[in-house]
Amino acid sequence: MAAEVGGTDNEKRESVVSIGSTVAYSSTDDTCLINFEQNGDRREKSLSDSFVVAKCRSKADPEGGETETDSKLCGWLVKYSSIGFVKTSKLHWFIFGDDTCKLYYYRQPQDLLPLGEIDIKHATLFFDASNREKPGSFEIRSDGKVWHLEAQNQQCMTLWLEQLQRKRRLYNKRRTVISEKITWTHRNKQKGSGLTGQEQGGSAQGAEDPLNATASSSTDRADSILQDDAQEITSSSKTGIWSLVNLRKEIRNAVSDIRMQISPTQEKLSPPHSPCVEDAKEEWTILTDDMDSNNMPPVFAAVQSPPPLPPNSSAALAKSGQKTGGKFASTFKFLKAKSRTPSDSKEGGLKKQNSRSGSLSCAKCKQLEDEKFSAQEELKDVEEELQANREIVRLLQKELDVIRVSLETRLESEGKSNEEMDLMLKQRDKHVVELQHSMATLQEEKSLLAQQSKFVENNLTTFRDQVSMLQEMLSAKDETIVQLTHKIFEFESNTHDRGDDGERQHLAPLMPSGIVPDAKELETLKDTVGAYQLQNKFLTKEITELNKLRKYDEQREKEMLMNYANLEALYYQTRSKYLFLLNERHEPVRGDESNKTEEAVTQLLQEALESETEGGADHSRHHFMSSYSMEYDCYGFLVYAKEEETDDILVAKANKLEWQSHQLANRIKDDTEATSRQIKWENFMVGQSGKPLQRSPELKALVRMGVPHAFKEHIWKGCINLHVGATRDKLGPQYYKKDLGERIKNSKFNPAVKQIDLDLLRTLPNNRHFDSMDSDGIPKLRRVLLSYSVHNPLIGYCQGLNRLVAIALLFLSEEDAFWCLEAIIEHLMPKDYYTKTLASAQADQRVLKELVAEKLPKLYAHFEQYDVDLSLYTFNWFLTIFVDNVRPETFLCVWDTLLYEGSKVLFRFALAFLKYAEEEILSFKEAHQIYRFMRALGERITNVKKITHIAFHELNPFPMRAITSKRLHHLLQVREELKELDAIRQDFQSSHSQHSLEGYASEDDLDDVKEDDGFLS
Amino acid sequence: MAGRGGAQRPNGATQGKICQFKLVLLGESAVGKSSLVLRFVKGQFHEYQESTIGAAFLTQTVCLDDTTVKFEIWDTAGQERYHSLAPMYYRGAQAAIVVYDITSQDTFGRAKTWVKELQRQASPNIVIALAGNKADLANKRMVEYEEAQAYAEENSLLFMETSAKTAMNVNDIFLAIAKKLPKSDAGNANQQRQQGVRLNNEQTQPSESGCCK
Repeated sequence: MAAEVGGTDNEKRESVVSIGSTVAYSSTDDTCLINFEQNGDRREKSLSDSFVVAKCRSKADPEGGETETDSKLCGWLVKYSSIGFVKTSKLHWFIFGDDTCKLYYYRQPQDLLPLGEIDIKHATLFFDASNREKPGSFEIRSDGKVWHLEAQNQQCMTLWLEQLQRKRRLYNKRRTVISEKITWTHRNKQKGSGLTGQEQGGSAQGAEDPLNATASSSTDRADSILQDDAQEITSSSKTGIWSLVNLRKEIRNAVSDIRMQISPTQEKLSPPHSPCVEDAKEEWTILTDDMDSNNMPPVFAAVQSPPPLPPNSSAALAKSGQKTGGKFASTFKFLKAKSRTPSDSKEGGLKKQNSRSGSLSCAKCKQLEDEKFSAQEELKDVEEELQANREIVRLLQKELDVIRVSLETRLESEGKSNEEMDLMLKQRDKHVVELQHSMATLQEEKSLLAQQSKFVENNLTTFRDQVSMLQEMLSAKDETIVQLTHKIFEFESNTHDRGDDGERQHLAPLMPSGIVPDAKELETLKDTVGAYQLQNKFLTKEITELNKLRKYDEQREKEMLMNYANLEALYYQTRSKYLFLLNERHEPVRGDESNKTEEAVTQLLQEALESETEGGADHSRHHFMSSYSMEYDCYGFLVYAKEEETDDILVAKANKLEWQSHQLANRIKDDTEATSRQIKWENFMVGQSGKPLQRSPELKALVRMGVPHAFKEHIWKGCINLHVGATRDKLGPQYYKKDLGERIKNSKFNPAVKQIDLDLLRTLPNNRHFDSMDSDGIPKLRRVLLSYSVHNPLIGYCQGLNRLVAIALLFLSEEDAFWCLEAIIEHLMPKDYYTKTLASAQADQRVLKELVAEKLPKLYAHFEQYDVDLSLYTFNWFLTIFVDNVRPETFLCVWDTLLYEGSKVLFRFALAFLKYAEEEILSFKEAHQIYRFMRALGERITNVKKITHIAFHELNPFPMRAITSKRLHHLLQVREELKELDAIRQDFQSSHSQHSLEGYASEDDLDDVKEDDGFLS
Repeated sequence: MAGRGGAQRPNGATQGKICQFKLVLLGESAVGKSSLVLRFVKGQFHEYQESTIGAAFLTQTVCLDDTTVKFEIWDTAGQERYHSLAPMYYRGAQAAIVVYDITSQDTFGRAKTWVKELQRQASPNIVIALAGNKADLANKRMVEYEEAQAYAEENSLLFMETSAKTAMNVNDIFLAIAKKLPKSDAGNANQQRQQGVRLNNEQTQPSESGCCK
């Protein structure tokens, strides 16, 4: 189960849009998560079966969901439930019912009845971001219950939630609007192909269109808000990244500063440096490189950087570090795009502070450095002085050489003059002495300088020692800096964890060699932050949504209160009038005052009569009442067509009002039941969508409850196809529209035409679809009946079939109505029901009589006593499937079950009618009273629920076998009798024809001719 | 309504005979059988009356001098196909109105067949009236009055041209039938009816139900 739900992360995005008449439901396809069925298209192409199904697989992008404003929401979800202490989780198929605003779940998409339902109308939605094991799980809280559901992944979950929110909003909005206009029971969204469907669709469209418009505009607005939000978030996350980058730059600069300070000394002194320092330096290079190329936090790079290596391979290390960093960048590129929380920038701030404290500790070191510098300068000065002294010595020696040369030349010239020579010698000696003196001083000076130099040298060595000491100190400081930075990172992650409730991570033990932070941890933390953001966003939206819903509810409540107040006012008005009337009646009449009283009474009567028209004017407000004061019902029948012997307007009015109040009372009483029935049907239809109808006990039970107006077409069509589907396929799709049309044209004389034309307007004169030649149903009725007469010449046309077709046309298309007739005549009714002699129909009356004797013996005896022939009334019921002085609600119930179950239900209902009225019939002690009553029996049956209960429960057991055998028995008898009758008729007809002035062919004679033709062809 | 019959009425002043008669309407489809009945019983007329399937049952009372005549009217379906059901309805009927449409010769021919069948199959003393309906459509007339009149006389039928639409002769034809029907005293009438019906139920041979004198 979990594997099925979990799926893989990198599933391809794929959306399939299939257009066709069938929907492929693949239960094995576990990636199929959300299906969209466009109702909009369906409504447009109401006559064709085609509709569009858009399946969004896997990560269905939310935009797709938004654009399809009228889509069906369905998909697989895991439902968690706990019964006592046992907790279970099951994968169910969930479908959202737009009409009920409920989420239904099924074991399989093909299932007919749902396992359960969740009311979304007033539900609140929630998901827990901290639940990281099940990222797709969410909760629906409705009616005091909590439903734990889980989608395949987070995207799906958010999509579900968004869709549910949207649907809930739309539904509530619609409800608010509708409550102003029409009652919900009369709302018919689907445009059927039957006559009633067309009409309803037409009238409903006008009301719905502005509704849709407002609804869509509201969703648009919501979308735009959503988009704005998203933009805001992305922009804010961008700034977050920027600040982070800046901070990193700062840190990097600070670090490189330190390095710069270190490096000159290293270069100059170049003593064997400690590996620790070297490594640290190398580490930083990698980090800064990474930061340059990726803007990645150092942690990621550090994860990839190898452990410390010996110094000689440090260059290679730097290179590989760069490489891996690059790779890393591409792998985690998406992480860059991920939004950052403000807490990130806080971390940055922290980092900065820490780096500052690091540089503070360096000030000492700097001082030492300065000292070192000054010492070096001093050293330099001394050396320079030394050099100068040497230069002087050299110059002096040169001078000495020159003097020696001049001395030699003087010795040469001594011979010339001694005196001169002596003088010269004296002078020279003097000079020598002077020179020697100066030399001695210089020597002295030199030794002094040498001494000095020696001292300086000594001084230098001490300084050098000092420098090396400082160097060592510096490296130690470096190390502490590194450690501190490391600590900072840990501190960061630590603070992060603190933000996460319950999910505190352990501080990784300090690594002496470098920074290897837990990347995964950080990643998960970031994910969590994202999830929380999402949750936060969602919850905010949820709150606004709920607020909106509350507003709608308030609006509705206000309207209802208004309505209630109005009605109450009306009620008190009427009551005061009534009391006044009573008062007038009670008071003794005193001479002249009698006139006055009468006047008052007549005035009251007038008012009472006029009240109806007032109500009509107030149509929109009193929709509840006015829906019953309409002229036509939802099937197009005149509501007050049958006004029995109306002697007085007042009595008629009273009758009408009584009926109305009866209806209202019934409706209020049955309201809960009706809605539960409606819901059951909707559940069924939701699961049904697009599949051919199949027999099932559930469907049977549902049909017996009565098929709701909106689903009649679908169900009837399905039932009809169960019988005639094969024939239809065999004859091809053109059979009705083309083949039969041609056959009608080609047939020279069709005796049925005359009777059909005579009956067109005499079919349902009380129904507005059939009340004049211009009515929409009449041409269809004619075509169907004519087509059938050529399709089945053996039957041709039988009075009564027109009613069957007319009723079928109320819900079905022309072609389907034709096939409905075929199904009734050929499959549902026994053979020979509508043929020339109506033999089976007559036989059925005898079967019914026997059944009455069996099931209602008292009534049977009563009928016998007063010589009442039941078949006078029941024959029509059977032949027209109760479309004979029976209320539409009642006979439609018979139709529903007949189309599904077959002609046995005719007996059930006929007996139920009798049983329903048994007491009353038994109370009549005169034949004509019984006749009278029986004539109106069909119209009296208003409690459809009770009738169906009697028909399908109280009359049981009702074995088909018994009926079949009885039918057979009586059919043989009837045939025998008919033969006799025929013989008698033949006899006198032959004698009569001699007398007749002109021969005339009866319709059935012609039928006989036709029959032969039919057999031949 | 009439309660259990005039004989039991305590008020002697209004005591008159109450007779109940079963009357059946026959005729081709759409000639106006149901319309005639509706006009007679309710005084209403619908241009397009729902076609009758099987049969319809109505009652109406007319007063003749001191006799109250109560008609049980069986309005049958006209289509040939329902022909086989007709015996069920005309069985035991004391009166019948065979209706044809004056704008259609076919329906007149059909009426003749019905008369023939009634004469052979129904009670021997059945009062048969021939009604040429739709007299308001005289401009489309296809069956001459004289022709029908002659046929009626030949077969000793009551004859009138009627119009359910204008109510012409509608009440008259029912009254004429009421007059022609044999009336015994009230108690007998009730008895008669019941007897008649029972007999008819027991045996279909009309010749044996000779109680309607």
